[in-house]
Amino acid sequence: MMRRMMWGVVFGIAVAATMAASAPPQAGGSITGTVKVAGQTNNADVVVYVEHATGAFKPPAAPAVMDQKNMKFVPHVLPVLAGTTVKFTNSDTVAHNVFSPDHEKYNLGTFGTGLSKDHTFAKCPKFPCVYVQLCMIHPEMEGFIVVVENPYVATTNDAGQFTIQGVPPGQYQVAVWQAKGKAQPKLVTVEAGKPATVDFTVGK
Amino acid sequence: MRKAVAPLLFGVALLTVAAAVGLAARGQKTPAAPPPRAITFRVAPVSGPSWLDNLNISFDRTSMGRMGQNTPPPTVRYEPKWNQLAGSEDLNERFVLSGSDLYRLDCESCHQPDGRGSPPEIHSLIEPVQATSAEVMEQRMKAMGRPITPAMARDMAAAGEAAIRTRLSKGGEKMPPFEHLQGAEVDALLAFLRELAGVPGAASQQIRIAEPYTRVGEHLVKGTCHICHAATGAGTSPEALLKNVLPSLASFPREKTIFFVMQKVRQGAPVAMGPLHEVSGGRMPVFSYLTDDEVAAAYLYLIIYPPRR
Repeated sequence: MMRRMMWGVVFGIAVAATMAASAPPQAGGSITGTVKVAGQTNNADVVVYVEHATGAFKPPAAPAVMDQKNMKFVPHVLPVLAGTTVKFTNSDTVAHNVFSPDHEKYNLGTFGTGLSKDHTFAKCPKFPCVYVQLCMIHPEMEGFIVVVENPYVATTNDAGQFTIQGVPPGQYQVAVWQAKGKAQPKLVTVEAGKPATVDFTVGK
Repeated sequence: MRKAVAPLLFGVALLTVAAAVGLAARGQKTPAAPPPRAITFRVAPVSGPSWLDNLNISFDRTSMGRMGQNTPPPTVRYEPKWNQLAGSEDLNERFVLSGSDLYRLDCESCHQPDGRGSPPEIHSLIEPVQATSAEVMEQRMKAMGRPITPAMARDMAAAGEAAIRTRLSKGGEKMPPFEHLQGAEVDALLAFLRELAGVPGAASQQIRIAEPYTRVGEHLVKGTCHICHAATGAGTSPEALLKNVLPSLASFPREKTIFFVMQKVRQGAPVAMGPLHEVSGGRMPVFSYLTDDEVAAAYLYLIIYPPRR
């Protein structure tokens, strides 16, 4: 439970960093809501994102971080804006290997405690691009990098709650990604300075 | 006379051909095992505090220590069967060790017979060893429905092998460095680990090596005993045991007979603890997977190469 909560904080920081780096100058509205994952008590790790938004979005200058700690990828799910560099760190006392068999396929090699390797996610042909993140040495480890088109993205907490900040006023198609399930995108109207609410149920 | 010789000669020739064919066929099926590699080693004495003291972990808090709690003393006195052992190992001859023997002497006490350790205290070595096989990784990814290229699998396998070799020589946060293992020994050990981890074809890649008994003793002492027992220091007195100080390696040949040590290690033996010299089975786990010869080799190694501080 504590670990899950800590992950939530890490997501928050990562998402906030993404926001700070690339939020448009005008004060926007926000999209908030709850996602229920059918058949699960824990509703965390669902990515909620705006499908299309106008504008050119610059990836953050600072890399996003996915750590390897206690034989797990932390956070378990990391959404990033296209072009973002992800720093894979190793906080474990054993060597880890970092690779993904998806899209351009990368293998960052095997590295020990305190070391890190970077990969820039700039080759997504069709958003969102999901990369399953694996370690060949520890096959039980699994994480996900979800590359999205714009910075209007959030990850749910244990209760399934999410908030996408700084969305410019307008009408958007909001979609969700979850490792095992699916939900239909929904149309949402965002007004300045006002939270728009939308809920999802992720099923098989 | 002549008439009789000809068929006889023919018969002998036929038998010779048949035998030759038979041998050739047998040779093809099961190629003779290559002779064990004989290597010269520099045997060095064991030194310093136990690995647990290095880590500042109390013996009682380890999986090994917990396992050994409250063992009843054995009811039957240990009888070494020297006569039966004659011909198994001879101290004048080198011991022939396969990778599995090195695993027993250097690894098994922590990583268990199946290599899966005692998580989270001791990691499984199966998965890291599987990661040294390009074939296993290709198959695994194929089964996941996310195939990888053979080149990527080869890259990862090479990195996996480098990582495991580094791990062995440098150790980890809790794993001691196994600096005493050298070239062919590491190769033999890795070959066995691959077999243990179910890497296809590994069984036919086993390497045997020949080593003097002192080296065998060094493996057992450094790879197993020294995890808990310091090289020098306290002896086996009941008072020392009461203070929760495990007897030092140096004290064994000084205070205990080779027979007692063999029994203690392989079957367990009563120890006296505290001011009342209360007899119990002690806390030491039983290492029944070792042989008498290996324990004797360790005992003799401690005499010939006295432990250092």
